[in-house]
Amino acid sequence: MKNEMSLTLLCVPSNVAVARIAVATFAASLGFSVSEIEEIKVAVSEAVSNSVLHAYPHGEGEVTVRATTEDSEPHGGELVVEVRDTGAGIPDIAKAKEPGYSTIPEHMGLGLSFMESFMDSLLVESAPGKGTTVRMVKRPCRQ
Amino acid sequence: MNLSFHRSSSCLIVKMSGELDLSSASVFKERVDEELRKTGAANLILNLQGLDFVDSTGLGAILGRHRQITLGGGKMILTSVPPKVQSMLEMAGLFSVLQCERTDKDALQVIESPFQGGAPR
Repeated sequence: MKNEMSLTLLCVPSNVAVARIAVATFAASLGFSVSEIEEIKVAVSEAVSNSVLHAYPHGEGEVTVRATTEDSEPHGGELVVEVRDTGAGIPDIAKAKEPGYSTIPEHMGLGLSFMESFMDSLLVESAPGKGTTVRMVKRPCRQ
Repeated sequence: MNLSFHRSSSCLIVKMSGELDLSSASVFKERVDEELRKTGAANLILNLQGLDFVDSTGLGAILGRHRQITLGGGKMILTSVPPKVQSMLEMAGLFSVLQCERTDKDALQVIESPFQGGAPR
């Protein structure tokens, strides 16, 4: 069955948990294992944390988390998660993807690496001043 | 996230429960740093048994405490690490940096050992 959820949240730290719990609850109906749900939670947490930390350095802004699933082939059962902000954007996506690269002290710079590792695919679209969209896909292992 | 603090002779023991992410990392840092200052403890044991979730921000906060403790000549040890937190530590390559022991008692023995222990305060 096709299903979709969309959640628009203020970019504040407490909404990171709101986003990951909402997507995890949505994904729970799709046949993912407990450990796969944990991986989805980490990936969503990383993506939304990046928006909260980097998108709106000079004021308030929103992040939209959209999750969809299709049951028709060839995408049956897969979860697609999009995390979109309209903030500062990423000047150099390749640099941002380098493990350990961070502009903030005490942050590990592993957010994009974790998203890439825990999901089956990751696409980052961003331009300075135009916001960032992270699109992640995960398929249940049983398939 | 909930934190409870216990002072042993040579170190501060922090039991963590709940979720360590962007919204709780700053509280974790502030409260642990404040307790380290108040007690003067040079060594730190982080008991992670009740930790349900951690992401890279949470791992960064843990690693930051490790840096701080080791810069002061002390030792930081993680105990009762749940499997899902363990796999996050592995993914982040932190097992080579952060020492893990099964129980607080094991960690205290390591810290108090004259051969491999931390700072004596």
